[in-house]
Amino acid sequence: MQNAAMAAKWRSDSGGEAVFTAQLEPVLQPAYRLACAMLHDPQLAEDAVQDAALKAWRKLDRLRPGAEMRPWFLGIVANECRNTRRSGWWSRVGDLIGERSVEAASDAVVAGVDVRRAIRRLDHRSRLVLVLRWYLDLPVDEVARAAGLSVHATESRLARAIRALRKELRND
Amino acid sequence: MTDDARLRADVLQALEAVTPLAPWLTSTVRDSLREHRKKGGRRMLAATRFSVRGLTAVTAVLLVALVAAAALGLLALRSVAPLVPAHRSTTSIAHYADSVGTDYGHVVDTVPRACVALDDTGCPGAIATAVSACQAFVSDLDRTPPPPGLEAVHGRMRVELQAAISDLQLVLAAFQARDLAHMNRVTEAFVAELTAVDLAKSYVLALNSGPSTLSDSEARYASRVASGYDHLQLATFNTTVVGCKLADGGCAALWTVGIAAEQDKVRSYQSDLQANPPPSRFASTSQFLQGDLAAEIRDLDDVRAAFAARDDNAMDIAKQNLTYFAGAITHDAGDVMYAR
Repeated sequence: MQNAAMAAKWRSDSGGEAVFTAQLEPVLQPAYRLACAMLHDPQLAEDAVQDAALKAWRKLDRLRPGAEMRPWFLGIVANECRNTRRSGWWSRVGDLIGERSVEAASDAVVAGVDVRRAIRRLDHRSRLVLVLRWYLDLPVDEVARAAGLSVHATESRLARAIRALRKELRND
Repeated sequence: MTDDARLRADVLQALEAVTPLAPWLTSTVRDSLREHRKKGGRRMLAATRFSVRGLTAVTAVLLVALVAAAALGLLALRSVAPLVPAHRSTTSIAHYADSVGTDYGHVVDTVPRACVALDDTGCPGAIATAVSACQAFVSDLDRTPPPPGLEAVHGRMRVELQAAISDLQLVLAAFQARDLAHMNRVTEAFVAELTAVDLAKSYVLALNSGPSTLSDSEARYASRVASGYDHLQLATFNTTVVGCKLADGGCAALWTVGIAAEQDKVRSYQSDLQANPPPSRFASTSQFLQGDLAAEIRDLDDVRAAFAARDDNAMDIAKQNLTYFAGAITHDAGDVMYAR
């Protein structure tokens, strides 16, 4: 209740919003990189981060005192990415459009096609854990908090994701 | 460099390549928060996003396409009713494609985008609309005998739509039970079924614009892939698995006998594909398909293990993976069986 009251007060004045934004700022770029890696579409990624920021603002009362902003917010962004993929089932097509539109850009982009395809074929949680740990370089306990898993489950999920990725790439 | 380190470097490089810089992000987020607070936070998130940044070219193209599709759908509704007379014994490919395309368009228009969270009050209404669009599609299929050669595709669309209807009802049940995790799982299954219908529909429409150019060996292989895929009855099986909970007494046989039977079917499909090398055109897709099948077998093992341990968490993960790979199988098999 105390959190809810504090959050409501925060939300009601512009000072609260400024403090919230200041706390959020350092996390926005990692959040955007996470969303790009999950959605493979910069446009959808930006949308996901913006929506996540608004949701975080609304859910401030659920941020436990002393809890870190980064895993909490990244967890919201991850959910947003999942919803983006789910709610617009045409986003499967959007996925392809996004990928194709950037594929022609450079050799570096073309070289990663197989890896990205393999990553896209991982289930949501495996992909999330892989991206948070390997791409954003988050410590395992923070990955676990963002993914809503135990540390043990996170490690096991990561190992499985790496195995699946390797297998996909061998098949490619 | 170890294998893991090399793979990690590849992942980093591959993802960095599709992550452009977005230095404006902080200011857009700040603006949208400010805007949101001014409006009392009552506006829809999407509306906020659009007003802040304006429509991008991609979004605009998508919207134009949606508006055009809606307009075409309306025109089709006005000009083609009833779609197919009940007494017809055969249907021309043009007429069949028209009917399938129109019905599919209606289903897509009603996909319940509202059901993404437990506070989406529009969810029950959206589900009802989507169910009715799927049912109308099934009814039209029943009244429209497929042109020669499309019987299997016709049957497949019907099965997938029936499974989609069941899944929509499960989504609603999960929504009413406030079970978000279950709702998410069933939605994934629904998406996989609609994807299967989408692939079939695209094939029908493509055939309407010209005959297939497959060689004999390619056509034989595509037919083999289709037959194995149909034998799996993935949509029906997945809907049953997703709909069953550990505590459901009526599902006891599914977790043991049902899972084992499905695994046998998957193994048999896998062996058949291994014993019959694909034509070069399908080599890569066939490898993916075999990878999907191997994953499906492993996920079915996980389902059985979760049942044995009565572990709800493990069952959730296994179901998630199962649904995912069922979708992948549908997609990859579809790439072969609907190739032209």
